[in-house]
Amino acid sequence: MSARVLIVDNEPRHCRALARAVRALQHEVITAGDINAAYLVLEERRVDAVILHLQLGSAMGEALGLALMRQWPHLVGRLVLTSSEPAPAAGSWPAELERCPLLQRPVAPAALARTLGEVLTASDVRKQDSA
Amino acid sequence: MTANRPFLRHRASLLRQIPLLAAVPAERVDRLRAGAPENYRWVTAGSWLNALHVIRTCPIELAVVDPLLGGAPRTLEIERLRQHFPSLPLVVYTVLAPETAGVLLDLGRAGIRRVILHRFEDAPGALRETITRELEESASQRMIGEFAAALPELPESLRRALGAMLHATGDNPTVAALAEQAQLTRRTCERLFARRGLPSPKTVVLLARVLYAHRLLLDPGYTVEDVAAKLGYARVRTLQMHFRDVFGLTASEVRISLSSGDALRLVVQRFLQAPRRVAS
Repeated sequence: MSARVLIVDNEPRHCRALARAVRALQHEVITAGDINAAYLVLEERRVDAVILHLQLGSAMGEALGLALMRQWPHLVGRLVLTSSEPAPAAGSWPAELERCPLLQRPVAPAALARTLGEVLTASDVRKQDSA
Repeated sequence: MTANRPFLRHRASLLRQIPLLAAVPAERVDRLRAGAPENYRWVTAGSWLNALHVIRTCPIELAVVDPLLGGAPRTLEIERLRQHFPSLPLVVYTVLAPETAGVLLDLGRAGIRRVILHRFEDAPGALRETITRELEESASQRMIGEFAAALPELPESLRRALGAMLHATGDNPTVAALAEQAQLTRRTCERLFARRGLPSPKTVVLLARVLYAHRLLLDPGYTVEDVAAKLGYARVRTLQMHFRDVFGLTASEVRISLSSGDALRLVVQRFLQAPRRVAS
């Protein structure tokens, strides 16, 4: 099933590579290069999942991730994080952020496909459960 | 106890004393020194031009001024300081004499009413008390008070440390510096933020500093370069980048388009959304 995926990444080369990989999975892709653009997209359209780079701008990706899940609760469980730095020690993040899958850069297309598939499937199951 | 010693030694090296401006005749500077609140130090200015330069470039929290600074009693310079830097608390410290009576009346009409009279109200304890009370109205204290209200259950030590980080030097103050101000380890500091559902301490410090920069920019007397210098940014570009990341606008655009309340609301909405309470 096709989903609408928002990619938030300030590095155009990585953003394009991710967009190609997600389109190859037959999903619709929207990209945002900064926090503002991400908010504009989310205020206008409903997205099914977000792939968010943690070192966005002044390394505020994690703050944005938290805020997005709290402002748009349907995104809980639908956030995939990417990072070019090692994962933080356990307990360094709020629990809801620690539950998000974290992919290290460079992101392998297979890992992205598997993670995105799991995120979208888990969200579908949860939606059916709550229905 | 032995294990704490290196930590405390390192911490002491990081503590900075926050500057206050003393634009008063030299003979009264020593009285002010005796009445300085803890963690503050006086920076002196011997002329109005020098006072203006210090206000624009140093992280001054409060200015004590004497209409007699240039010799003859004058109000114009003090009134201009108030017009250009309305967020800076101004305290007049002068002598009670026939030539100052009219000046004090004029300043009072201009809204500058906090006066300390030499020989009557400038015992060290009284000075310290007056200055401490006025410091509560400083731009940084007011901003950090409003900002901290958006941070759920943040311990008082961390609230104070966040306030101190407004005066930290460097483009990107570290979590270690915040933790040391609060007398915590870096890991404990990160966990305290995480348990409260907050973004990382580094992000929260950055947001506080950008909000403080915006608060200062609302004063017509500061340029973006002045504010970058006051906050200890090594490069103006970094401050501009932080404004873009937080507000999506340049510092000059934010200055003319957002009030301090608007800026705080935007930051809270974008980065500090409270965790949702799930009914059990």
